[in-house]
Amino acid sequence: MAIFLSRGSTSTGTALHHASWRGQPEVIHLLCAARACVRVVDERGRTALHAAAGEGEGAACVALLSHGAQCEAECVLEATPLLEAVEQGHAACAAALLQHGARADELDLLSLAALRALVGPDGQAAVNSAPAVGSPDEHAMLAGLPLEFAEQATRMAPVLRRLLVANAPPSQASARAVLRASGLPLDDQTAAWRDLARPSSELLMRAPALDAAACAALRAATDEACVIEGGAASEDSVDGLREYQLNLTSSQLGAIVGASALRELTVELPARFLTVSAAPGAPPPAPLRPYQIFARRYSATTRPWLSRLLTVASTLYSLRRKRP
Amino acid sequence: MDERAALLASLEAMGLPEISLSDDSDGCDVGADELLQALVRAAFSGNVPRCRTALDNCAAYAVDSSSLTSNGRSGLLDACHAGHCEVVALLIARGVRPPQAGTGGWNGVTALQLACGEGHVACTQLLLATGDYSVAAVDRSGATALLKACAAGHSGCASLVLRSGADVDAARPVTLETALHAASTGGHLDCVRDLLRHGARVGLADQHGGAAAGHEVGGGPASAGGLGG
Repeated sequence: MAIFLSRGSTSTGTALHHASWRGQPEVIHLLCAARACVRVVDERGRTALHAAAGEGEGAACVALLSHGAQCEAECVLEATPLLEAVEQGHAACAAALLQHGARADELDLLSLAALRALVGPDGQAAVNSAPAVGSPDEHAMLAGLPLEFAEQATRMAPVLRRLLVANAPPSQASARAVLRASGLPLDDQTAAWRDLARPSSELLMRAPALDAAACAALRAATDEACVIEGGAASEDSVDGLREYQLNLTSSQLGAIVGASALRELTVELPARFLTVSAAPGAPPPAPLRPYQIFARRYSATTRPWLSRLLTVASTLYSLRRKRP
Repeated sequence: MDERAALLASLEAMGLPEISLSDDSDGCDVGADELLQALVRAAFSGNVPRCRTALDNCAAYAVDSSSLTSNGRSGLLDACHAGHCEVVALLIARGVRPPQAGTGGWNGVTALQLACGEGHVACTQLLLATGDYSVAAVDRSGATALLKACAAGHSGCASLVLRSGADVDAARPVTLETALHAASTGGHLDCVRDLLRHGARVGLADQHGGAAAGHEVGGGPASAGGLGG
């Protein structure tokens, strides 16, 4: 849950990074007077200005900008300092960056809506050049949720809250913004980053694998293990709520869905996936074997904001290659 | 009153619980630890006369007053932690020296690191004057006396160890944290100024950022930044 409250990535870097994320403008002046470089980046490609903006240290932002820090610097996940300030909801930093020429028109639409809400009428002039977008009414959505979910929703990164809770159209958010907000470790983020650039044939394959009876059996088994017995619940890595997940072995899965569905899931579907994703002319790859099998079940009572997924997707079967 | 009875009486006068001194003439381990504990208590409370008595008792029973107690403390460590410079002066004058390396009291911390970490300038001066305490020594976390002083913002102590030749860029082995990182994080301006005056390198990155130090984004002339000395 803490992944939404502290990012952890801000604790590394040069002395200038440290002074910036801890909001020490006078130290920043001293270091810069000693020829510390404001363009030096940490392991995530973040400058000191990213660190200050992401932590909401407005005075540190102003100090760095006075020493020539660049508003347009992008980290390895392509976030500018302005985007970090917006994603973390820091108004003073966003205003300072806009005053120093940060470009709002390069933000995705959801971030832009958040920026408008952050800076208010005073900062509108800088944002007005960018296209308008309706801001989802988050407050109304939060008020309509049961208290435990409302509290959880306020802890989410703003972009996730707008997408999941306020039902903002997914086309308005960049996939990279969602990835940044996910709180995943850097290695996982960069791996997902590379995956975003893959051809769509490698990413998506529509293949019905389970019939309605098998789905119903799987739902019932998951409900029984996670809801009725109240066990087997860890925390979901994205929204921090209880995960309704039933871990299974191959034989347990077979007992629930039947032998033919088991064969379809663990042998035939992976084989088709390999055919789709194989490079032309390459030697046939080794067959895929399941290394982890689980069923997750989200319903209106466990995830009130998943209306889209609940109404559109009947079953989501995800096939992931285990990383070496 | 024989010598043993006198010793027990003096320990009792110091408010200590009843102790049992071994009658073994050569190795009296239990008694030695009690004597050292008495010294620690006197040193921690800054009571010079009691320290003198405790030192006398140690000498009478041939117990090395530089040794650590069974729980890893010593008179000198406690006096430095609490900042009682008269006690530190007394202990040094009576020949107390650093315990042997690796004996591991207080998480491997030295008296100098304790004095610096707590900002006791006079104690730091006394220790440095003996020449027995290395400014390069590190505790188990890899922190030097300079890093401890800077993390806590004790510029007086930082200045003393810097003048005694401490390596201004010494970094913890795993995190690569330097004194400048620690002082910057805490916003300790005097420490930052002193470190920069002594040539601290501003371009060093800590933790996994080591490889990234010196990277610049957005191009620009290499001379514009000045990545630190």
